[in-house]
Amino acid sequence: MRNVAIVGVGMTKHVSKRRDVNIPEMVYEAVEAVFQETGLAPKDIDAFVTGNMPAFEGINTPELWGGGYWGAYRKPVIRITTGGSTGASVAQGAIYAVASGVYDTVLTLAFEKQSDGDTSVGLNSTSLADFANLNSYGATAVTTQLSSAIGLFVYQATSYMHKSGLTIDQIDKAAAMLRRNAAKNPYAHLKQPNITAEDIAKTPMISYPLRFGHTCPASDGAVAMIFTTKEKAKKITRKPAWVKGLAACSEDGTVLGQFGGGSINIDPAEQRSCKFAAQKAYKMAGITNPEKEIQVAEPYIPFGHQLFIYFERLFLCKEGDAPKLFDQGVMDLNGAIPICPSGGVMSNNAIGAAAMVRIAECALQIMQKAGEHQVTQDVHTAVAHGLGGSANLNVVTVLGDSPN
Amino acid sequence: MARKVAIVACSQLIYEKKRNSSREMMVYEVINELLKNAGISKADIDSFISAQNDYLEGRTISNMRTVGPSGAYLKDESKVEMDGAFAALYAYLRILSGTHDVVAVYGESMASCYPPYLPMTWTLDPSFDRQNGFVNEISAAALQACSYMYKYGITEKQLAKVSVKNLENATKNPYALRKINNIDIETVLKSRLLYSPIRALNAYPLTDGACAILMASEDKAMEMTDKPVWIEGVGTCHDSYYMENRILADCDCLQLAAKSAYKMAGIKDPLKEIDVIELHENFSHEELIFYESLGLCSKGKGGEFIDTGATLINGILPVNPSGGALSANPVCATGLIRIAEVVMQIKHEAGEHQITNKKEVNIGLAHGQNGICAQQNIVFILKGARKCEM
Amino acid sequence: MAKREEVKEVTTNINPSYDWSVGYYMERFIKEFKSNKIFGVRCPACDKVYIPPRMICEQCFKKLSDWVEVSSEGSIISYTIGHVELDNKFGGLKEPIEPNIIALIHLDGSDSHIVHQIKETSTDEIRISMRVKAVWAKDPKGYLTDLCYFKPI
Repeated sequence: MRNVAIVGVGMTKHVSKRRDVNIPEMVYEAVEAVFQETGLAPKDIDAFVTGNMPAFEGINTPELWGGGYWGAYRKPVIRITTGGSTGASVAQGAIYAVASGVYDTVLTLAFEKQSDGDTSVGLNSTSLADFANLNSYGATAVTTQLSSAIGLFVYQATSYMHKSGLTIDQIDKAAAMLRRNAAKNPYAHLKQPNITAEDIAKTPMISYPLRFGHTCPASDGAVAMIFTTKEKAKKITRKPAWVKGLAACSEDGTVLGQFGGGSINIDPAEQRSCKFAAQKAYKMAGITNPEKEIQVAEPYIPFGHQLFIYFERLFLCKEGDAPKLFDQGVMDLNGAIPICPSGGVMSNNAIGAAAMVRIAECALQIMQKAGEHQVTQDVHTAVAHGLGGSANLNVVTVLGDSPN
Repeated sequence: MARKVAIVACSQLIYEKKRNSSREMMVYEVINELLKNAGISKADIDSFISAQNDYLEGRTISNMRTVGPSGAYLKDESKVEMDGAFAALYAYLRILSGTHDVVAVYGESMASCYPPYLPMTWTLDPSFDRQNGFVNEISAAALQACSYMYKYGITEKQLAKVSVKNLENATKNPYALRKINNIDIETVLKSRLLYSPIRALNAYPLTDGACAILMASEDKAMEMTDKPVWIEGVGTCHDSYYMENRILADCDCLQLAAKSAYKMAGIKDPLKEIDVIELHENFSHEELIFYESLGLCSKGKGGEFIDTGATLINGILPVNPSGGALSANPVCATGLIRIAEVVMQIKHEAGEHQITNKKEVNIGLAHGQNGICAQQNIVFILKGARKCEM
Repeated sequence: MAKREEVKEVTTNINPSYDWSVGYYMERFIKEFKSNKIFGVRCPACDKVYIPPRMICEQCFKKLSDWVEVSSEGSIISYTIGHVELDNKFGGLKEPIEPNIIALIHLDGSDSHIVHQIKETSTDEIRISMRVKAVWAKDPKGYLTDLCYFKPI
């Protein structure tokens, strides 16, 4: 595959409500930031790849309205949407666009303005069509429980805890760690520099074993990145980040499957599709021992327990070892493999953008532009992950500090 | 470009007003048909790109549960939320990158689940146009038609000729939904007036349907078929949302997209070099405007051009021998259907609606559009192998 | 193979409620309706005046801040007579109470077209380049609906 470089990242500060701007104006801020960072302008961009979770704001394909605000006037535009993993799918679309040779410089955007929208209806309608028949049996509670994100991830958490011995107070500690990391990230939403596991433990249980303190916020935010060829990257920045490997894998929807008819994917903690995607991405990147070769990981963690699950599913340790390694400090900001130095989705969740922010954050770490939340060790290789759908859409991207 | 990409197979389902099927069954059937036509199993496919729209499906993350029915289980799978031709572009980029060799693309929607008119209004500026409630897909098209007719003196009869041509062609297309035998201009001009001058027969029918195509890199394509249809060029363009920037009597955006595609494919005189065109025309007047944007005739001469009979199925450059979107428009699949129909014409597999008055159909143009009044356009140039080249 | 039975259908309502932020540009535009004024913004690079006002000129990619009042009079660029309207419940098309006239209007002093409805004229009289002017609500409150329709001058 042709070398693809990341030459710039632009983000808006993620907050719970941006009342001062509409959607195109909010996304413009991220575009303006990345243009300023790289010194590029719309005339230098050959194509735009964009995406968000359409159902939340109630705007169908918002780039039709907003494209002009982002410099896409009379340019090629592709829209990719895959639920929670949208940001990563969009970034991968941009990577393929540059790698194909058809477009040299591609600007990619992902965003969400959840304060404008109706998130609960958005989440419910992921499964309404499949469980509507259950409503006639009076099973409305089922729909809400199992279709909205937390319902499903609760099963994932309990299954994983049973298999690995993970405890709730380890989840409390993980959540606290992520929020403290976020405090060093100027773009993050929930920054809590002094938060402790005890503070998290005081938050009420939503549904066993997940507490409010273990859950991601709903943010308004946007992220923009510019991908380009090796030749052009040299002229734009001294130290780009490089795409080393990318893969996505999808499996059957979790637990209830289609029309409530059951699924092969009974254990949402297994995340077979994540393992497949990670294997393929690592192979492409020439990584044979991720535990030793990856310096930073940004998995997609909307709920605290997933820090442990995805550490294992991205092969950063043996299956079942994550809780033990967490206790040893391996995942800390100054540990051997820091997890989500940005604070992760747990601290920052504009859904459409979240998976792309993971890639952007890895790029910042490699480019040494992460500021206060830059990890202490040199970052040669980083892995970013996006999760979507009914925990069945996984997207893995590996970035490095040198081209092939 | 080092790699070449071909379309090796395609499949369509018979388009219906209301299909007795869930959308999952529909996807399953169209993919199975594709595998059968290609002579492969799903194991041979590296990745799947779907074209679906969450609002039309009434489901957020609409691809989350079509993973299984489409055969994408444990495969690399993604979704382009635009017309299917744009999904084909993404598949093309994936193969060109070298990381995927065989990619299946499918698009589907069911208007019987929910008609697309309201979801299209949800693309509008929520603080102005959507609040006022005057703009929708058909009223905007009507404003375009009115301004086009006024600027260039196009007549309602010329608009009707597009419907007559396409719906007549559709009678020979076993997949088409709307076919009217012995249709004439009178019939079109008597059909129900929607937003003047657009009548029911000038507008697309509400359709349930799906279409799938299989793309492969050169090596794989040569293994799978002895009639690969090569992608020679592609161009796409996204125009302004605002009405004043989109000059309604023309479609500059399509002109730019076509220019890109022609350049890539080395086409200098489309009227002479292209053998068949499949356009995504949601409304009759769009086809006339598109003739001009594609450079088949000069600006304002779309009406005269159809009067010459050039675009009839036995004309010098047949346009929409399948019947086009006026005969079936499963939103998100329509652009893919245009590609599939061009492929069929080039392979000489279009059955009763095959173009027969030419020595061979070798180069075709397939067009897809997205958004109100074709705000986004994409053009593919496809080419078969001449017999002497093989 | 057995004959396929009728597929069972379930109809469900999805009732979202949205809370869109309009941004400062649209906010000012809408609030000025209270004084029966229509405001646009001018691009410093290409000099075009846009209605409705917006933050960015797409062609020049410049941020706009130069507010300009435009006339509430203009010309009809295009029009259509609606013999159907959208059914907000079931999503299809239905008969309106009476045909309505929708037009693309160019307001004097602007370089934009807006889409609005025309009243106080008949479907026979409406024509392109007809001069029209805005008709305001009797008691404007600074809402979009203060601009009721346009009528021939």
